[in-house]
Amino acid sequence: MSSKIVDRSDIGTLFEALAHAGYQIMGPTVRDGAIVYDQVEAADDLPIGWTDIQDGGSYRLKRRDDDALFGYAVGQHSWKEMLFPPRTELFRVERSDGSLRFVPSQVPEVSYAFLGVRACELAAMAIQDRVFLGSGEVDRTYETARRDVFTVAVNCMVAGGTCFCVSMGTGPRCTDGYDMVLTEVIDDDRHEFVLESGTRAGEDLLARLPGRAAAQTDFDEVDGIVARTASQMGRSMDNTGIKELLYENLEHPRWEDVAQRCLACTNCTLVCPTCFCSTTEDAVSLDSAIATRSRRWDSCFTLDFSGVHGVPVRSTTKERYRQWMTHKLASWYDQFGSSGCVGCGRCITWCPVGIDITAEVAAIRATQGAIT
Amino acid sequence: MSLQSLRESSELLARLTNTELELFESLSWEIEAKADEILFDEGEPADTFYVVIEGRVALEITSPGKSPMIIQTLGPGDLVGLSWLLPPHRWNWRARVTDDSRLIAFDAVEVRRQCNENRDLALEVYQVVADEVASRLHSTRIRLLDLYSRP
Amino acid sequence: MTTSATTSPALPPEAMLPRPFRVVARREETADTVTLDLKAEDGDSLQFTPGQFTMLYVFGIGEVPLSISGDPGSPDTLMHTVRAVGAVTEAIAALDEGDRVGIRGPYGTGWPMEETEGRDVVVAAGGIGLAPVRPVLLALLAARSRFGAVSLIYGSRTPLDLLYLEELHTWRSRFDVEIEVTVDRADAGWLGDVGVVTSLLPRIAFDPKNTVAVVCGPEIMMKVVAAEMASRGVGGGSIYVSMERNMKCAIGFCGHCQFGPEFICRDGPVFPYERVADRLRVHAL
Repeated sequence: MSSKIVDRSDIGTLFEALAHAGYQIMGPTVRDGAIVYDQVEAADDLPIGWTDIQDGGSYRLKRRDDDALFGYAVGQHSWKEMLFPPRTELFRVERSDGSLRFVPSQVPEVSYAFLGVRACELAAMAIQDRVFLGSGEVDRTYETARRDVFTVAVNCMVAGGTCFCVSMGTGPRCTDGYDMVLTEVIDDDRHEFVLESGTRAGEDLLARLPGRAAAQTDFDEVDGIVARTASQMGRSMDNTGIKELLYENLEHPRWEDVAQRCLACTNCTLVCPTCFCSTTEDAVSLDSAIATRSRRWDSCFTLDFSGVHGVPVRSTTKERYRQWMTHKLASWYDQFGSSGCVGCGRCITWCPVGIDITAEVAAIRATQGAIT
Repeated sequence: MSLQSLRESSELLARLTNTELELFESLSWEIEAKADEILFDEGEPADTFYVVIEGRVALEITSPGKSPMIIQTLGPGDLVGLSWLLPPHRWNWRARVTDDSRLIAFDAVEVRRQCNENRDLALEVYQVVADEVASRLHSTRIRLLDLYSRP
Repeated sequence: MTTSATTSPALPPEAMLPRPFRVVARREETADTVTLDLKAEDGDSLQFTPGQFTMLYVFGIGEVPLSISGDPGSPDTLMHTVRAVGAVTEAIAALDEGDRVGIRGPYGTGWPMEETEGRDVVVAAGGIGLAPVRPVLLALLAARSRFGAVSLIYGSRTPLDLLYLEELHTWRSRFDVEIEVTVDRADAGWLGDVGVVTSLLPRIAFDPKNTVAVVCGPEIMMKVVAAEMASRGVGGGSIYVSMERNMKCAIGFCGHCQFGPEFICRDGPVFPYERVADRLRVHAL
């Protein structure tokens, strides 16, 4: 694989090369007081000079004292916004003379370049790949969006206040799943990017960018940045034997404790980059000639998420919180061969009451075996 | 009826010792009952109890203006009647034979008298009947849950 | 691989797309339960194994999972018995001959028919639970000599709630299968048994060491029957139950049907009882 050092003044060529290759570039940008993922066209669209201050139930943007392009962690969006859109039309039904004709809906044909994908997000995409592509049926919308994505990953230069990718073994260094990875190096003397390719496509694109050859000192610089980020994690989680721990503590009093705080607002499932639950929606035209069926995001925190003949199975917040956490951290291993959590910290940051999944696990671990 | 046949007629009687079974045998007689025959009625003194050999007996209760409700049916091997052992020794239900049946009848009055005099016998009989009461209570509770009703 | 966005190759099929089916017959089973016979508009039969289910779509209203109740040996006709308990099932119960619906499937793991070869089979059904096990009985009776003693114990709420009455009578008149039926309560006109379904177990003949139990009905009923069979010596690995949860996709994507780590649509709905026994004891899992 190849590498190159590209100066800040030349980073615009990355945008040009991607656009020229036909990609719609999705990347971080500031909007409504947060860093979200949206279409970006030039370096100026990025959150230049911004960082984020995150904690349980708290997210603020703050100005850095430099003009780094990637000096922040992650916001409420994840790449599932593009790969697994919040609402997708699945098919139309045309009714005439009583007979029904089922017509699959158009899948948008857009080729995305994802610019600024963090290591935890690469892990999350790999996890959703297993869910939507690797467990029997193939999800058409996901497959179509995913197959053409050009991924420009970023090695994090700062750790977020709620990050714990080190505990989950998912970061902060990007190791695979990208076409290119960049590490931003910024200090008083220089502002440049160490770019490394991960695929042939990445190599070809890299070849088109102006820059100098990377030297060992540049790679050492990257190591240093990654190591520093790894040492600044806002949270940590002991993942040892976590599947058995949660399976054996389904009646632990801590579930009742967290249920007193949890609002079942579903924020955590909305922002989690691996949550994949959905529901269907039906609509009919005014003349009853056409019906459509759509898929939209759903959350296990809703009352009617799980039921038998219309009677909810998990009728209390406690039961639904337990479902979410044991699914994410334990059942996922049995279902998909890994944890469902990548340690991005979003659920902690975006929980209105600051429930911290790492603290909940620690509390159960400390008093495991206790029953209500 | 031979002791062996008596022993084989019901899981409950099978638990009695030979001596106890001999006593029961001496207090028993076989009857044949035609469909719709009433074995005993609500409120009557519980002086005879039965074990079904063949056929079926329905326990039912009447209600003014309504058809009688069957609360339980009993078939081969089942004990018909529990109130014969427990005071006030009066039947709570009516027992109506629904199919042509063969039953063994037992003199409950004499069994009660013998139990009063013989503690060991009483213990055996009460254990057997208590188990049956528990089993019927369990089954009745399951039906009380009305599992098959509209959710 | 090049750096430019390639034109997409053929799209994978839409896994949620139903096939059009037509209602060819409608039979009212009870006050709130209807049986529909359906045929595919394109003429292709829907091959299935006993225990599987389809997703039935009603125009503009929605889709529900329904166990297949038909004869696996005659898959040209798709048979569903539906109880009207919500918006979609009420719409299905109101369908008439000639009406069209969408069908996806079959989905799910079926009853362990291979395991029944040469063994006694006890089918235990409660309420509408008779619908998912009807294909088992039909398959067993169609190849009767391959199996040991075959029996059905069936419990319902009242005599008016019994399904497939005519068929029960027909099966009862055979000499190679035992059919025992009971209801929770009845009025005096009922000439059958009144009692809990487990009370029928002493009546049927089976060798507990060589029996497969197929159990289907409300969760509590399945627990009670499984416990009773286990106490009579049938191994937990030979008792099978059919679990149920609401489903939106039936293909392991929507997440709704999860029961612990298992997706009932894909890992079930049929499970060996010993695999789910512990989870059934956890309230509201």
